[in-house]
Amino acid sequence: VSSPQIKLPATGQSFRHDVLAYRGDEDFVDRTGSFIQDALSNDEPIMVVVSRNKIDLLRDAVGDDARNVRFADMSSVGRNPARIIPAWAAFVQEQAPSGRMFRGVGEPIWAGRTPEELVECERHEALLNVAFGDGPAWWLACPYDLDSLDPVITEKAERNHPSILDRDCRRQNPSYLGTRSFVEPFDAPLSPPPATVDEVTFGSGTTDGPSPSDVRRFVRDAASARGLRSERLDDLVLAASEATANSVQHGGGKGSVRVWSTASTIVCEVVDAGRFDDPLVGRLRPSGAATSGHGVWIIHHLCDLVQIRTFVDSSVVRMHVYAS
Amino acid sequence: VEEGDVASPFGARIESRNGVARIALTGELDMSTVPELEHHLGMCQADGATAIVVDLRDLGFVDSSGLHAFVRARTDAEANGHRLHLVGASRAAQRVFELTETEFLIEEPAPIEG
Repeated sequence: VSSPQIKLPATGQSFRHDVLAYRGDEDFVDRTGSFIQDALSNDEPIMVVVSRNKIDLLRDAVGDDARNVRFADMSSVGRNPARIIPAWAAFVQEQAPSGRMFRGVGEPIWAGRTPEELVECERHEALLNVAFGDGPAWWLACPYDLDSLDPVITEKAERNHPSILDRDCRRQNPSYLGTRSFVEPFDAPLSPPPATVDEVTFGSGTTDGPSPSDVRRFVRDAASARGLRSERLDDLVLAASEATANSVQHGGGKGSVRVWSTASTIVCEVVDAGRFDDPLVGRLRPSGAATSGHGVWIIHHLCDLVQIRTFVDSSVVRMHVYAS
Repeated sequence: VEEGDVASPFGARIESRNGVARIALTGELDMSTVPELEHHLGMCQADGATAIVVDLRDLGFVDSSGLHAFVRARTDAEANGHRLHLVGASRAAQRVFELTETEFLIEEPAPIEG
């Protein structure tokens, strides 16, 4: 592959996952705009998932050719960072049969991300290598704003990218961590729940403890009492139901559900004795004929943030629905 | 003020006419009530139904366990040679089909009369 603006090392045809570090909006438009125009001049389809504001900037910069670019708003696609891989997977599934190269631009991290979201964003960036590393060739550039982000964030982000896209060259990233760490389940620490939570334990529902219906009623009442309403309440109840069903079927048959809230989020957490061994759990859409595996997928699509962990003797699915 | 649907036990009302069985579901379909649905589907099949219509309009709750039961019912229908129609998805049912991109399982709603 040759291109007018960017010289490429002679690499094999495989998934390219590059970090593109920039400084401020002008530099973003310049660098990302070049990447887009380069794709268009090579007749390579491209999807760009960035903030609404940056979509507008790029449309202006790219001009008429922007109609050949597929834009999506990252604040919606990636509100829950676990929904970004599904979006790319759908694009890959659509483009790969043509056999030609195609590209993406994805900016999952911006200055307003919460500390909890940042952990999941970093996890997402690392999982891209697992999800697409052995698949068809395509080229994903991930812009990071050095001006607005904490250097600790950009340093961590860089380590999840096998290569670096500089202004005029592309090079291997010596600090890339690789995918070896994914043989172990994710166990990044979670903040402890507050002192006051509503909690219920559940079993199989046949002989002891509350039934799945009782657990849903508990979550509905607890979340409703914390101000959650209408569809958002239904969403959290369904997500909690999927998580508890998971516990009953795969997590040792029992567990506990806790509900609490903060100023910005209503949280429902399901804890059991199971393990999440598949690092991509819930991020690859099961086929329409599948008769298992939809539970975590549904949870990711209902919640604004999901923290899935497997610790030494327990697993946690912590589901957030934001208050606004 | 009560919010949302009031929890109600799962129920299935069955009518059979001219080889067509109609199963109208109410309440909550989850892993604890799926066996009941599958029992009714099995009975209809054993009775030699040429078509089974599952009416979802009054289903107050359904999760992925319910979805998987519908997928299995479709596979059974193909293997057995009877027709299976899922009709009238409630809001709760529609939500699960949308989230899992399995809307193909549900039939187009009938045109509104009048």
